[in-house]
Amino acid sequence: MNVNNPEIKLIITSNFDNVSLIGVTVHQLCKYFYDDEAFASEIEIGIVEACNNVIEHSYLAKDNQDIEMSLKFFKDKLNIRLSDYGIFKDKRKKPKLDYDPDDIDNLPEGGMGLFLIYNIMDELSYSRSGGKNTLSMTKNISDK
Amino acid sequence: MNFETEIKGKVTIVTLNEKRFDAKIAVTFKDAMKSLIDKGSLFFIVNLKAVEFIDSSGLGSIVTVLKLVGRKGDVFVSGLNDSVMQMFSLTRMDRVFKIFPNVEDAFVELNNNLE
Repeated sequence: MNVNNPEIKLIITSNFDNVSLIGVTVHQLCKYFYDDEAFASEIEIGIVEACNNVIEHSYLAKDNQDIEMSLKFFKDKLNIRLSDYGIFKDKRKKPKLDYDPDDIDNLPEGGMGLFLIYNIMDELSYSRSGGKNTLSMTKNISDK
Repeated sequence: MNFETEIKGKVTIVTLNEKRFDAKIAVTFKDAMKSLIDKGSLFFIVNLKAVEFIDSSGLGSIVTVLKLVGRKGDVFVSGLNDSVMQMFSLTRMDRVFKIFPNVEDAFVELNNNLE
């Protein structure tokens, strides 16, 4: 890493078209700083799922609401903060994704987003202050 | 959404020509697949060769197709890149779907199953 703990702030409005902008940007930034395609892909999944959750559950699919993201790149970890001004939904309980792969009728079609975020990130916290919800996520860089 | 369908015997090959299979197109994909099922298709190969990224909405829409065809049909998946495969693995959907490197191999297997 050639800059000391660089940080970037990104803002999109709550539209699924814009989530891909965040996803692609974060993927490329992770590749640039950590030179690890698998890591970049994993972070992109986590970020996209988190943004989708904000649009669906915090803003109830209402358009043109702000979603703010900051990323801070450390040598040994990546810190991500995702904020919105919608409905607060406690995400502190780690969801399960238990299902029988042979039981077709009961396979999950949704509800996988938070499970993915929990499984991808090493640390996760959620808070609300002054009408602003913030999901803080940390992913450790294991081999750096 | 840009996708192509090819019907070969009982098998319907659906090739999604999109870089991203995400919440933006998942509902449209489901509707298109429901329409094919309504017209009698039950055995599908979903070819994701062009897809560079899939989110859980995209994945969930493929699960919906499998549930719609139920035990009367089947859904095979082909052409997954590492990122897309990662999503299947993280959600353990790699245990649910038969996954093939390319559409040709998927067709041979599915067609053999139907004979």
